[in-house]
Amino acid sequence: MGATLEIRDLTLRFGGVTALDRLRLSLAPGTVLGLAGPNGSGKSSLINVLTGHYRGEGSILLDSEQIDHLAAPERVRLGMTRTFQAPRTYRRMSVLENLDAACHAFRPLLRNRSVRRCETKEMHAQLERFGLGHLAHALPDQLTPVEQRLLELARAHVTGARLLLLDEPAAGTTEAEAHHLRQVMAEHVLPGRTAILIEHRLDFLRALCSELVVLQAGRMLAQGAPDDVFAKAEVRETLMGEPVHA
Amino acid sequence: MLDLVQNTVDGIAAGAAYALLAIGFTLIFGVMRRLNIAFGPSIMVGVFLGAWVHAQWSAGLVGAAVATFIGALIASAYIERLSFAAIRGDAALASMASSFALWMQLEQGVALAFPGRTTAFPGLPALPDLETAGLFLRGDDIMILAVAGIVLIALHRLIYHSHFGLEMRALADNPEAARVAQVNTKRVAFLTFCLAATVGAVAGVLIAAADGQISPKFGLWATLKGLIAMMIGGLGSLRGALLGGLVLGVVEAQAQWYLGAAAREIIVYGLLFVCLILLPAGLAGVRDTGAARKL
Amino acid sequence: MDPFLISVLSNIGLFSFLALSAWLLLIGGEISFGQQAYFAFGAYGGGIATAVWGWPFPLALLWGAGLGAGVGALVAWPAARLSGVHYAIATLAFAELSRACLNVFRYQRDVDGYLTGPDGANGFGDIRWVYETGIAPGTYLALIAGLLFAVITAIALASRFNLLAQLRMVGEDPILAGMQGLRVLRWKVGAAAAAGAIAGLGGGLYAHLATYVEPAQFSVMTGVHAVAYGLIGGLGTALGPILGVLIDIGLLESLRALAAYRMIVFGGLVALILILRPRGILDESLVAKVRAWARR
Repeated sequence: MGATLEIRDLTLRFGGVTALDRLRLSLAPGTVLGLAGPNGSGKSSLINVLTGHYRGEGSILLDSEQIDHLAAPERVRLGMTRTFQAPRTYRRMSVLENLDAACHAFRPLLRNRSVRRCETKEMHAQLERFGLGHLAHALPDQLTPVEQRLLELARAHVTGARLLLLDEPAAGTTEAEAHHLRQVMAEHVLPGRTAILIEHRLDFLRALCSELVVLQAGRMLAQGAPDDVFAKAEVRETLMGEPVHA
Repeated sequence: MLDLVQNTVDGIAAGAAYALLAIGFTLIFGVMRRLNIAFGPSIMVGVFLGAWVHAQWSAGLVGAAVATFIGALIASAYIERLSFAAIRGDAALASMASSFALWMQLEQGVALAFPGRTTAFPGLPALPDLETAGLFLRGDDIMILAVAGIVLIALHRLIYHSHFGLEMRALADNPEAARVAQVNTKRVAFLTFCLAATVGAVAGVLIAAADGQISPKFGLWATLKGLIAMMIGGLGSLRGALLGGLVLGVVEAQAQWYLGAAAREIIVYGLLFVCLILLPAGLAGVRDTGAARKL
Repeated sequence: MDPFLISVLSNIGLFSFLALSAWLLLIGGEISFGQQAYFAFGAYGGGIATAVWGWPFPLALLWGAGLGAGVGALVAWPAARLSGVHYAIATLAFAELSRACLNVFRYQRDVDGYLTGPDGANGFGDIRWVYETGIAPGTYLALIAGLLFAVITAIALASRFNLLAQLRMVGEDPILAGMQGLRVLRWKVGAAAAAGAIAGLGGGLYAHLATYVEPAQFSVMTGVHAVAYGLIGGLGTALGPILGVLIDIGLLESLRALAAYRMIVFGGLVALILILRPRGILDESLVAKVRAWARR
């Protein structure tokens, strides 16, 4: 079951720049919210504030619990996880160990083998599911860009998090690769979870999202079902310059 | 009250030399994003070469100064090639570690070549002391302030009004963008080392000449003074290095006068530690310089 | 056993504590130039415990280790927010501050008619417990080796329980680790406490073997060597820093011809190795390869 997320009057300022301006959002469990907008509109900032990397004003409620006073590790332990725009891995650890780390990270002292989700066999099975089975002992630097993105998704999946924050999971991939990632996400990663998905590829958003928000200069320009939002003139104008895949 | 002002005056003169050392560190750190721990010892190689040249050929201060520059340049080039150019960009820790390995080498090398606790270095030209309103400014201090001032002005012109300075600043600000803009990053890095060596050599000559002698402890001493001044002022900022150096000089002078040498050490290191904890951006208020790098 | 050999091995053992201390922090992503301070606290603390207070030796060692752990954690707590160069210089500042304080630290009491205890810059002598109880150098070496082995075993246990891997995660990418639920600050403070304890234990052992300690012995150069040992020996395993100590003290000290040039040779070796292997001889990839081979 996905988490509920509520954001009230979220504001983030850097020096003279307002990255987020009194944002309000309410996500029901299982919602996949697409987040679009030109560069600098506040998309990544929103994720960074939700995870606790930046501190803003306003309140954030995860499953009706206020979390804005909590540090990032605490928020993660409550069931939130994110992927990074540029894939981040432990370059000195193997693919399997990286996946293991995501699963084990905040387990207490002993490797909790009774939790089926984190057993080595299960880790291998997950790698298979994401198409990385043959790369279990490879180092992250040996992975192709799309394989690295698959690893990011696999790691997000095994945490068991109920709120996913996905920052451009298909950036830098080809059409075919993006299509593959879309399928993997729809099949394995998104079901049963609440998610916020940042992407520039509009076909991606259309295919995966039940709801779409367009940001501009930290403010919400439009919100609603993807087709309705894309129909709006001001949205097309803001997102102009980006190829709109039919 | 008069003591306070007198100490401040004395402190500023010493602080000027510290500022030059701190600037040397900052130039390298600003452009390369790595700390050259062997900077002090490289200056030491210079001043010992200067002392040697003077001992061999009675070269006087000018001859010793020239030799100091040459020695510091050679030592800096050695460090740059081995510890910085040869090591991959993302292994910043390895560079710093390598530079202290070379520090060990240079320190032992100098100690072996110049056995004995101290070696003579030619003194500063005798300038008359200045006395005004009950304050005393020694001739040596006037010399140090004058020379340091000239160097700072020249450095400012170089960094802010020359093409090379522009390249340095570009590299310091954003290495990737600089590379894309056709800045020859390797050349700029090497020349920055040379520039730092030159500035450091000036400091070395001033300090050695004012003391009239040098010891193998000079390397560690110069490293500590330069590092402390740089960190107090704010890592990566030239203005900070200047400010930090002057503050260090004045704090030292006051502490020494009122509390003695032992307390002076405690206060200086305590000040550095507290500064780092409470004011990581330093007095110049330097924000994130990208210094928090992965190892 | 040849007394010279015992002496060299004892030195290797003692410096290994210091090297392990710095190594643990390196794994956690921080370079510390100040582990010699905790070594000093262990030495002074342990020495005062036996020479001035008449405590039993094991308790004195525990006290030294505890001091190292406590002060290490206390320093790390504010310093852990810093990183990279700032952290390194902060540790240097604290170590020099400690040394400057020890230079004025006088704590002398009448023990059996003699004034015993630290006397500032004049040092702290008459730490005679080992000689008064007639422990042979060979036996003391066995003690050093035994305790060192215990420390390494503790580290191996930590590895077995996934603790070391998590510290490495914090060390390699604290932001990512935080995003996976690791409380980065706690790990940094915890690692500092453990490192301080190890250094303090070594210091206590050192004081009783040397019978005389003075602030000048705990210099920046000592701290720099401690870090160098881990970096040259390798960050992939706890045996790395010990290998580093072996190379410096073992190889070069025992080759009399090179003794005078030891730092020149060692420094040159470190610089060369760092060009070829930035994480040392026994680095993580080598250890991974060995593990993979063992798995077959």
